[in-house]
Amino acid sequence: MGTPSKEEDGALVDRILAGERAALRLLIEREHATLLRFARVITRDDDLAQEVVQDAWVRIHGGLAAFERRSSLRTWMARIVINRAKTLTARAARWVPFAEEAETQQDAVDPGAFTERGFWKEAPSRWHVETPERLLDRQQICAAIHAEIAELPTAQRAVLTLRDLEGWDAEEVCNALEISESNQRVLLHRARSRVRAGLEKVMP
Amino acid sequence: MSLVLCCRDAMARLTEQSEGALVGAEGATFGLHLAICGPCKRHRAQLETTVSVLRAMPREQAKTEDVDAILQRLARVL
Repeated sequence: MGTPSKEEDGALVDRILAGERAALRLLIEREHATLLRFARVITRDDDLAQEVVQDAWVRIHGGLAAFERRSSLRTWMARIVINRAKTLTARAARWVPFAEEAETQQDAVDPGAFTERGFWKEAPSRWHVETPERLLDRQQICAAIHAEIAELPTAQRAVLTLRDLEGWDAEEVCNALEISESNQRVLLHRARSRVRAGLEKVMP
Repeated sequence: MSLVLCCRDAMARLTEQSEGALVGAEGATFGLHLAICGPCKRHRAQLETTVSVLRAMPREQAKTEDVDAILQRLARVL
């Protein structure tokens, strides 16, 4: 799904504020699954994620009149989910800002794959690439992807989920997670590289 | 970035390049390396395949009963 325009979002918010129940249903249908998936990523707890998102909807609905429309609606909603997760999780006191994870040193590609001078020891193995849809028909491929995503550190998983699984653009992800563009790219690159490495083990 | 880029440094910057953040001399140096390095080309193609597969994964849809439950809760709160 593409990013809804600010005009589309604005019109939807206006209809909700005018009391149109169908518009509120439309917003919930459009965004609930994404918010829930995102809440699962940042809480790593299914029940807590449900509670976070239920609570977030009350705050989203109650706060719509104050939505300033400078950022996208879903960025604003994601911020509310993050804030509810911080408040409701028992780990709130240990909440690690997403940017911190980007600033730790970590190689996206196994450093053992390169010589001392930084050239490949061996070329990456050849993949017999089919279409993405054909690859997803293979249970082993799907399982490898899910396993790698589950193992990603939270910030990497959050960026990958929003960018590649939910189709958000870079600016929205930066605004939602309050990270810089360069941190967003670092986290995305590490996450994609780890999923690639996982796929490599099962690719035909 | 020096004029000669090693494979490790080129691979560390793949997403920077695909996001349009490698410009000018840096972009040219990166482009030159990729043009002549077969293993890096293959690695880049694999990363692109990975992204395509991730983007092709089915998105979850909100369940009707969940949407109804949220609407009911919001109606109670108001």
